[in-house]
Amino acid sequence: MHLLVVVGEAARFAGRVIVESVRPPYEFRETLRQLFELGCRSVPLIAASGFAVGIVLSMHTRASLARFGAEALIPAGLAIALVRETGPLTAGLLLSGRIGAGIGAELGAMKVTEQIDALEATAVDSFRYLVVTRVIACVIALPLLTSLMNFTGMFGGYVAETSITGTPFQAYFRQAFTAIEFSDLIPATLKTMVFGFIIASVASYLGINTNSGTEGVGRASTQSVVASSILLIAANVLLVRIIFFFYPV
Amino acid sequence: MATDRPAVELRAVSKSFGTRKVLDDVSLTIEAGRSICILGRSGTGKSVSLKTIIGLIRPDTGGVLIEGEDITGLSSRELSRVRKRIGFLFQYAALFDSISVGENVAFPLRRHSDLANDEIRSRASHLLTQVGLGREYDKMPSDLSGGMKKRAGLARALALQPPILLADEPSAGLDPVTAGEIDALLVTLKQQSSTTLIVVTHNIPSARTIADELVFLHEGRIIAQGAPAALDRSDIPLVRQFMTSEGAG
Amino acid sequence: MNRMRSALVGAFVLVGLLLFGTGLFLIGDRRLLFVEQFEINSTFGKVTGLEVGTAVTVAGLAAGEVLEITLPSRPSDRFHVRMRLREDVRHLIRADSTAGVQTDGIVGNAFIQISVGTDASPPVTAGDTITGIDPIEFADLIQEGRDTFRTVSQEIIDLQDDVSGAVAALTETVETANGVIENVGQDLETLTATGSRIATDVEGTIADLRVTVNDVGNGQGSIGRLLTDDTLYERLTGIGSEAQLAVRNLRETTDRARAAVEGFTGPNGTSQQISQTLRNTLAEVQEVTSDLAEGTEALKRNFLFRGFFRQRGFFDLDTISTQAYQAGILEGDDRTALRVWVDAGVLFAVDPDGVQRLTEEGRRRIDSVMADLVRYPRDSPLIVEGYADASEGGAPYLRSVDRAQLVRGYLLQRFRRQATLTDIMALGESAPDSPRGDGRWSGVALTLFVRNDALGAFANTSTR
Ligand SMILES: Nc1ncnc2c1ncn2[C@@H]1O[C@H](COP(=O)(O)OP(=O)(O)OP(=O)(O)O)[C@@H](O)[C@H]1O
Ligand SMILES: [Mg+2]
Repeated sequence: MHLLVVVGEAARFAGRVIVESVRPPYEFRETLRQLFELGCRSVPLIAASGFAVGIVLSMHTRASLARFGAEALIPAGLAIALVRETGPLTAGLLLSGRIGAGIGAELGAMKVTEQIDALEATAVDSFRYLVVTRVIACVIALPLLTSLMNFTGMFGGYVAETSITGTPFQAYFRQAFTAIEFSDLIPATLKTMVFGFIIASVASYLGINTNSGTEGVGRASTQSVVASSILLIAANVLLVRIIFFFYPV
Repeated sequence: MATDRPAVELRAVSKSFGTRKVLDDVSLTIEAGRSICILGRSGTGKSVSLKTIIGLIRPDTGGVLIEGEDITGLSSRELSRVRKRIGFLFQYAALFDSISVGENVAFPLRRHSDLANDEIRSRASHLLTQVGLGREYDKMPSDLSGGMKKRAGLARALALQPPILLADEPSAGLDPVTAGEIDALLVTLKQQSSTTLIVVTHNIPSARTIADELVFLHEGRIIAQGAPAALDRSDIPLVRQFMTSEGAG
Repeated sequence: MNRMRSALVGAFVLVGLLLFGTGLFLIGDRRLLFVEQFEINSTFGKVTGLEVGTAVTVAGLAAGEVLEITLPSRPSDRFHVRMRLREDVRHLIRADSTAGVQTDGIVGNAFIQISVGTDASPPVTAGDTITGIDPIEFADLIQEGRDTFRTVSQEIIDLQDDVSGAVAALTETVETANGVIENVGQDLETLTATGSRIATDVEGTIADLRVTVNDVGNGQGSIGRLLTDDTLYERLTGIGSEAQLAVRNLRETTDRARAAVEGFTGPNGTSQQISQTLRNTLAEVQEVTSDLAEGTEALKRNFLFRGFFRQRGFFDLDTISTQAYQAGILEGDDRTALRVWVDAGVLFAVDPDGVQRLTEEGRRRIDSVMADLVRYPRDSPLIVEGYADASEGGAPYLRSVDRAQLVRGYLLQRFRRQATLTDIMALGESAPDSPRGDGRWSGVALTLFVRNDALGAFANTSTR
């Protein structure tokens, strides 16, 4: 029962986010600030993780492909894996950690210290000011960060590969792109907008509904990560199905 | 504005949290330009009354009229319009901790005025000087003491020069000298700008200086109301206790 | 600070978009969306692995992709494949260019390879159709190889009498190889063994040539033709690199042998040096042969192949007892033994020093017996049974061994019987079916084991 109420409220919350995000006036400055906080500040995390993931993936791809003497397919295999799934999903999960926890904690703290009330009292629509801006920033940042992850991932793959075979940079990237189609890159990248929406909405919902003091803030923060990760993975399954429906392989 | 109508009017307001009735059929009328102090023991619903007046808490039954307009049924947008006319000082200041003290004060101006940046800054500085924080503009709220936060919160509440000011324990936690300065500031506001003041306080001397009228709340009800001189002669023990205290606090 | 922040956000958004855009560009670039291009068509009988988007290369250079594959309207029609290529390769594709479906390694993708044309041909224009060459599949390759073997076999059967001995042995070899391929399918390892077998047997045949080299004379050209037949060689190379290697060895060996034979019969052929060369070559061949023969023997004992070899008449007589032999173990359901009895009195004379030898009369008798038997396929195993009567004195068994060996030697030499298909069985005096009626015999019996389907009209056992 309680769960149904929460799901229902969260769904209404998400619906409200969508409606409010298209309605002017827009909180442009605040959105920009969130884009900085959530987007720019995630760059080091995503770049470093992407690089590491690329190296590891490359080593695995090499191990399996070398068995068939198909080393030439390593860049393409890595690129396909990254672009289609690994990049978007890893970026999504990493950011649900960083951004989800951040938003949950920040809004939770604002809630328990009455800052949200203070905003309202200052005649500011706290939902639009706090929630919509974060959701929009996330929806914008996720595909960009995913592209960054894809790139640093491939770069990691290149570094791993060139250290073994001395493959030149350009040749590596040419080869990497031999197997990728528009239908691999575009839907997989754009689907992370949904990830962004989920992360920011879930974390905002939990943050804004924080009740019991500092402890509640901690809970909002962890719950944000857990709930947004699970929802994100579930949504990913659905999205992949939808993408396959429109772009069958 | 319409001076013939009361600035604030509570009509038979009741509010419960769970099973606990916090406001029980409270009716109160404050004419424009007048000032009242709300007194009562801790946990009797003083802060809840103030939040009800500004619409942060919706009463279960009864009406809240601001300058004749019932705000209980208003949309958030219409509520914003009303709120711009009300300054609100939270009991714990509720400064926005992600921006500097000065920007906290400037915040309502940035949101609701067309003033240039320089003008906003100089006004915010001026307000801070008025509350004795002239040099703290660029400090972050977390670097302030509790009393300084309270004063900064008051400066923010006054930023839009509201005709109605709600202050939740403005001088609590301040030394007698500073508390006196704050009281003087409120009196000046009342006299020069004919601001309607609704102040929650435990400090009887300061209540005597500020208020035209005192309102005693006890367990959600108004148990006594009248000019300080009249209440001195009250036969209610609690009121007498209050009136004879020299009210630290 | 605020400006700084805005700048960072701007950089973040721009770099993100740039990376995404670069990805899009690289894909588009690969799919030739940004260069001038033209379309060209080709037709294929089958489109193994082709699909829309399959890469098209021109002389190995990535040049475009498959746009559309149209089904044929009738089974006899061909698939129509429309391709889009970059304009700058158009001048390389001429009217005589061909398109072929190829595979990128064993696990790789299929792609279309367009060959550059010849300078003399006119360049194609957009919308032209160039010839499509169907993909060669492994199974097809074997089928083709088999067909070639058949053709070659047929040709050889038609060869002149004079060299028919040597050449027919080769036919047998080819057919054996053919059979192995048929049976074991695509197993490359076995193909390697087959290659070795071909080499072994051909070399064995060439070794046999040593004794009849004088007769080869005018027939030499015919052998040469077979051994240098490019079709056979080419098809074999297609089967697999290991088989290819074996065939190359075979070719080298036979080339050397042929050179030696040519030298021997040529104008200067009498020189010592040439015969030395020949001897060396043959020695080499024999060495290889014995190695490979061992392998073949091992293979025969391998239970996987036992049935196969047995069907072909490859029995290891060493493992068969005389009783089992006389009970007819070699005949089975599908093979009949044609036995011709020849009396020792006609065949052999004893030298003063006690050594038996074949008489002139004996040779003539064997010739006439063989004249009857040559009607049957030459791959029928022939067993020379030796018999000796106790009344002749000495040990009958040893005498029977000598007799059988003498006759076998003569058969190998005179009729170029293949050694592996011609063996002896020394039986002492025991001859249950003997025409003498007393269960004994003195002399030999030539027994040809003929497959029943080859028996035909000659299905009588003649006795002499
Ligand atoms: N959001 C809320 N949810 C549940 N209960 C609340 C809420 N806000 C206030 N209360 C309860 O209402 C009662 C009145 O609280 P309120 O803050 O008005 O007290 P107060 O009179 O301001 O006391 P103090 O002088 O200590 O500030 C308290 O018992 C409090 O627990
Ligand atoms: Mg209070």
